[in-house]
Amino acid sequence: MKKRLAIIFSAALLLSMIVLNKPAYSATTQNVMVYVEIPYVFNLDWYINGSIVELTGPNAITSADFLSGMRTGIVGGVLSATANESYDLTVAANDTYFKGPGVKPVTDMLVDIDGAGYIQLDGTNEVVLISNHAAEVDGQKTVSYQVNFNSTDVAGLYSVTLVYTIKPHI
Amino acid sequence: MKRIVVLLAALISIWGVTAFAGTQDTIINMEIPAVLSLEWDTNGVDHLDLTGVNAITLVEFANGYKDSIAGGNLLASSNANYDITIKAVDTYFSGGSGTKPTSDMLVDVNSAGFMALDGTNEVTLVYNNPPETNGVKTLTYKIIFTPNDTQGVYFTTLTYTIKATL
Repeated sequence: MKKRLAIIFSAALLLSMIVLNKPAYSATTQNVMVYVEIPYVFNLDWYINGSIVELTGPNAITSADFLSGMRTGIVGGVLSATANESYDLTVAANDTYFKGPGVKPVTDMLVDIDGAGYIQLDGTNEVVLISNHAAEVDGQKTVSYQVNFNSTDVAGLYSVTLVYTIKPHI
Repeated sequence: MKRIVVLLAALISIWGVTAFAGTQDTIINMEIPAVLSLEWDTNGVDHLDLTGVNAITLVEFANGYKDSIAGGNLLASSNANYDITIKAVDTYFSGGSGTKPTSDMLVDVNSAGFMALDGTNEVTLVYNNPPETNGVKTLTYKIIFTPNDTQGVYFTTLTYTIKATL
C-alpha cells in the first residue's frame, strides 16, 4: 500500500514539475514595430545676419560709386539652407520699385550667391538664384549685392524688401 | 481457546510490526530546462510611434539625430549566462519616399552606450550577463538623419533575442 502511495506521489511530483517548468518555454524574442515620420524639410535661416543692408550714412553711395554706375560687392550676410530634397533658392522684391523720392526700379539691384555671378532682380517676380541644389543641412550661401545707378536716380533714401525662398526643385 | 486467541493476536501484531518496519525509497527525477525568457515590462514599448505630433522636427533633422527615445523595459530571465541581441527585419526601412538604412537606428541598453543596428544581422547588446530573474533592461533609441532622408513615414520591425552565451 505504501509503495503504491510512493509511486503515486513520485508521479504527481514529476507532473507538477513539468507544469511548474512551463515558464522555461516562454518567449525568447520580442519585437518592436518602429514608425518614423520624416517631414518635408525646407528651411532658410540667416547664418550671418543679412536681414538689413544699410547703405546710408557713412555707407551711403559715393560720388565715385554713382559715376561708375554701380556699387558692387555689397556684403549681404550668409544664408543657411537645409532641405531633404533637391531645392531651389529664389529671391523676389516686395515691389517693382524702391520706395523713395525718385522712381528707381528694383531691377537695378542684382544678387550674387557664393560668387556664382550677379543675377538681376525682376520686381515682384521670383528669380531663381540656385536651381536643383542637392539636399543638404546648413548649406551656407554667401550673399552679395550690386546696385546699378543711372543719371535719373535722384537724391534721397530708397528702400525695398527682398524675400528669399527655399522650395523643392520641380 | 483463550490461549489460542492470545497467541493468534500476538502473531498478528508481530506480522503487523514486520509489515511496517521496512523502508521505501523514492527516486526523484527532476529536469530543470535551460530557462531563457524575454518579456516586456508593464511599460514595454513594442510599438514605437514617431509620427504625427511625435514626428521628427526640423531641429532634430538639422541636428542630424533624435535621441533619448524611450523604448521601455525588457525583462530578461535566464539560468545561464546570456546574451541579448537585436536585428531588423530588413536592411532598409520600409515606406517613406527614400532609401533609409536601418543602420541609422541605434539602441542603448541601461545607458551602456548606443550601438548601431546592422540590418538583418544580429548585434549583441548585452554579452555574457550572469543568470538572473526578471533583469530589467531599459531601452533607449537614437535615429540618425542625413540630408538624403526624404519625407515620409518609414517603418521597420526590430527583434530582440535572448540566448545562452556560447
